[in-house]
Amino acid sequence: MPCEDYREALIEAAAVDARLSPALRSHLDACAPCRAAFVEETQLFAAIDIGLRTAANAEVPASFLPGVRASLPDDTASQRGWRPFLIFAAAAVAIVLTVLVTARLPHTINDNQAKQIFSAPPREKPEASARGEARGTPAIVASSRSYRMPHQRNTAPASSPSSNAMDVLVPPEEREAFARFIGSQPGRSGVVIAVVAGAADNKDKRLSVEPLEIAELEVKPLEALASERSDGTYEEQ
Amino acid sequence: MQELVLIQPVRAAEKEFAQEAARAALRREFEERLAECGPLAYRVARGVLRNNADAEDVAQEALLRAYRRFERLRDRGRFRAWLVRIAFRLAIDRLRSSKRREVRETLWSETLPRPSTEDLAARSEFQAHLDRALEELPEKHRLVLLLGAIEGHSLEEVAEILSLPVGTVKSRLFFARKQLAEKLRCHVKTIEKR
Repeated sequence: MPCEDYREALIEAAAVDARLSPALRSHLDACAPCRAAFVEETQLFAAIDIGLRTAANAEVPASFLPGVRASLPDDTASQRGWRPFLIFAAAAVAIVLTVLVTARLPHTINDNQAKQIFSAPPREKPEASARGEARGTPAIVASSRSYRMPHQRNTAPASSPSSNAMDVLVPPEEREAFARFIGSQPGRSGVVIAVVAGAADNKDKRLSVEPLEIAELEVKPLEALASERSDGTYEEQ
Repeated sequence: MQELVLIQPVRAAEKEFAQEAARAALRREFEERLAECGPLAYRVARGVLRNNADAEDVAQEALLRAYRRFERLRDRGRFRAWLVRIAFRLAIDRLRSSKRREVRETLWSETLPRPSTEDLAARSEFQAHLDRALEELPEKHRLVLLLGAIEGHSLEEVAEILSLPVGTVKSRLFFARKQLAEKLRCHVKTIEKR
């Protein structure tokens, strides 16, 4: 058994593997049990170190690094693989949203209130409108519905005031000009198609193109291919 | 209202090409680090788990995790320390889960295959005691001991890996070895037998 006074000092000296202090060295020279205890402690720490080194420096298997390299994910390939899927998903979501929004647009304007029957201004061409009515040509109906609502615009007004009426979409501020235009078309009472777009307020605005929407053509049987004019000549319609 | 947006395909392709080149460079850099630090990750895992197959699994997982987060690592010089911590943490988790599993299986089945006499003989008795004593050490002491025992690691390097002052590493090492010695003192006789 080592001396109790030197026990801790012996353990610490063995643990740090440092040079012994002169006092401890002289005691070890004089005390055989302490000397034996010190040798034992030194052996213990050496065995611990060897055991730790054995465990910590195990040989790395030759297949380890190649295995890790092979298992590294190829980011490039994976990102390319995701890209088409993301594009497809985004397109699908956009289509679904468009359909939903379009289907739920409120019909803000009552058709009957919005429609106004225009006829050619009597002071400009009174005979033209009179002749048109006499011949049974369709009256032109201008609707103030937005031309951005194609499904509304193209519906044929079955219950409209006149079954002969045609829908022509005219922005409210251009109705008068449109009526004049109609009045100035004496010989063309068949179909009138007007595509009206508002003038750009600001030239610096981003370029935008309105989807071109053409109202459904309503084909009416012509009552007469030609009508006799008052002066005896024939006019084709 | 529809808007026309001009897309410049050439610029997009250039951007994609640059991204691809950056990814390739990142992968090359990681592979260099892998060759340098991969064995260390394995040894740390092996030091905790004492099992080659488990150590390989854990080290591989640690390296894969490191690869996934490599891009976000600001200071690439800290890669070694970062990897050691990941590997050590994963190894400790694996050790705990395998111990839990062992306990669970022992509760449910008393007919577990016991280690054969050959297995027991293969490992020296003292080494087995040392392994057990190591598992009982606090993690911070265990990691210092492990890194200090790995060949080529000086105290300064261990301190750098763990971002600790050298004095702290020294004191942890001292207390860890002392704790081990206290646990193993009763087995000194087995050393003499070896």
